[in-house]
Amino acid sequence: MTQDVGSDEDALAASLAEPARFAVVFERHVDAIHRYLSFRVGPDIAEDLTAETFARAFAARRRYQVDRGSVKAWLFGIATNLVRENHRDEQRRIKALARSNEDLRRSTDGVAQVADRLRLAAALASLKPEWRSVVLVVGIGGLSYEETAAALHIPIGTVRSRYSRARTQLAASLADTGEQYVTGDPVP
Amino acid sequence: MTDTPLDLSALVDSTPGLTPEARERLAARLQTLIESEHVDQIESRRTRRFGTWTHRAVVIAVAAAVVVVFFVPLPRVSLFTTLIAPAKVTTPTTAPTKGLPVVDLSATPAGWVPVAYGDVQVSVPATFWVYDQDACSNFQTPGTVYVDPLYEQDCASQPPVRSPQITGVFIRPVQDVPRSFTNGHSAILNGLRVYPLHLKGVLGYYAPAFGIEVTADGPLARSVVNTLTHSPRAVALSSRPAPRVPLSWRSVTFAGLSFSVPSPESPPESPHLSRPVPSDWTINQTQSTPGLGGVCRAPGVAFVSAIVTLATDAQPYPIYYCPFIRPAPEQPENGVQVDSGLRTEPMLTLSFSRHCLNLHSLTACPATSPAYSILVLKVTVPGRSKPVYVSIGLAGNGMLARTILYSLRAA
Repeated sequence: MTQDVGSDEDALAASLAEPARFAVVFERHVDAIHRYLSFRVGPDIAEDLTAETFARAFAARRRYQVDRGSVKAWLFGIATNLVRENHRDEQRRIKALARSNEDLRRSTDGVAQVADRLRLAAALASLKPEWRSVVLVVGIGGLSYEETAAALHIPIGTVRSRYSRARTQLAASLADTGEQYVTGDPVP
Repeated sequence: MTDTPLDLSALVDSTPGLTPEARERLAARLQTLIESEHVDQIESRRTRRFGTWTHRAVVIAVAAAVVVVFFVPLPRVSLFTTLIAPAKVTTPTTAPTKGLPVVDLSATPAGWVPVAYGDVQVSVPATFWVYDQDACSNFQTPGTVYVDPLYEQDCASQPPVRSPQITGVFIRPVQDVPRSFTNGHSAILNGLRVYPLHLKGVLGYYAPAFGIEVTADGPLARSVVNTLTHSPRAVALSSRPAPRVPLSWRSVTFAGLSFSVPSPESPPESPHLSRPVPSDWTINQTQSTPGLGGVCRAPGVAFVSAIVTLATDAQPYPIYYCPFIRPAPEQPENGVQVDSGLRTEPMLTLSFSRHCLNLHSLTACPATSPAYSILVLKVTVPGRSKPVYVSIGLAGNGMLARTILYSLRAA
């Protein structure tokens, strides 16, 4: 299904005349988009949302503007919009991650690593959705601040400030939950 | 600010990757799209010349229909009266008593559910969708309410998709009197002083006392905006003299606090149940952090039933796996929850007002968001190092919540 036609932008442009060329964009980014969505809404829904991301991108490829960010950023923007539409799935996914004893049973990691993971998931759940999008697009999608700004349609200064505030709140939340989960400190 | 990236590798590593089978399925779905467009392209080239006059005829017909439907006030055919004509402002049906705000319960039609935002509420059919602090999710049939749609500019390039058959309702805080309201005179709507909105195709009101505007368009716009009235929260937090606690109520003491609640009702008897259904105002003690609101419902919006929950928050949540549930308007319920632990709801970020109440030597600061049908108070109790969180359900006319609130005192 793939044909290397140079950059993503070239492939997208070529796909206007030859729709099959869009497969190049799919092959290059499907893993990253699926991993991002899988973390945000869970693997069961991620496959459908990944398909929807590429379907929307394919339908809207004539409107893609190269000066507004890379194709990768554009795809992450579409995926993030889909997460917004399914934000309750995301809440449940992160809550489940934060609570899951199943994770402890299945994991081959040590208890400490799993506990770290649960605390981090709980802390992420407490972030405002807009902050969480920035943190996860950067942290899991691997996009730069510039690409994140393009993906989320916000100024780069907003990306930096949201990332910074999220980082501060995560640190505070981890300190709080550390008290709750690690020491089991009950009630004041 | 820092540029050091957050280390999410533990979560990334634990997230399952794309299996070869899933990749195949995705590729096949995309291939179907690609092939269908390829066919469309061929068909389009064939019909382009033929379609020109057909296209023009359709455009003219649609334009004519729009003119007739929107601008000619024909009875039963035109939408003129529902979309453009000014809304009827009703007189208050319940007179204010003792200077308290009044929740006009008659403004909510049968089968509709109030959606509160701060000190006001509008009512919508129970079949509507409600998005809280979300501006980007698509409109849903038959109607969608956007409560405090934050960061609307974030989705400006991909605004929510909608059709004219869907009623859209927006409840927003506003800092200044919107220009589109200033041409009109103020009026009283269900006990609220409001300014009607003057904007073609959109109905709405601005409530200056609360800095809130409600706007709506679509088939039920007029019916929805005309339900605007005080919310029970406005009644509960009013600074008027404290109400008397009825003699039939009982006192509850927990976490250094004392407060009064109605006595439990007799549990209903049912031959089909092996044990009685928990009645209203029974007391439930738990060590878990129960969270605010029902499991698998939108957190923090409304209690499920009028019980008293006393939580030490010593244990994290139990595990629940929730199916997809439509974000429907949640019917407000009475009830009380006292959390003596670290927080009321790990999944909510609550912000608290700087304007606090002094209640019999207690300082109680109300949360401003997002628990709109639950009044959450951060209560500073003398002798305790950490605050206690008291949550009171905001149902009906708000008087019950107000009586519970003003009964709070140090034990």
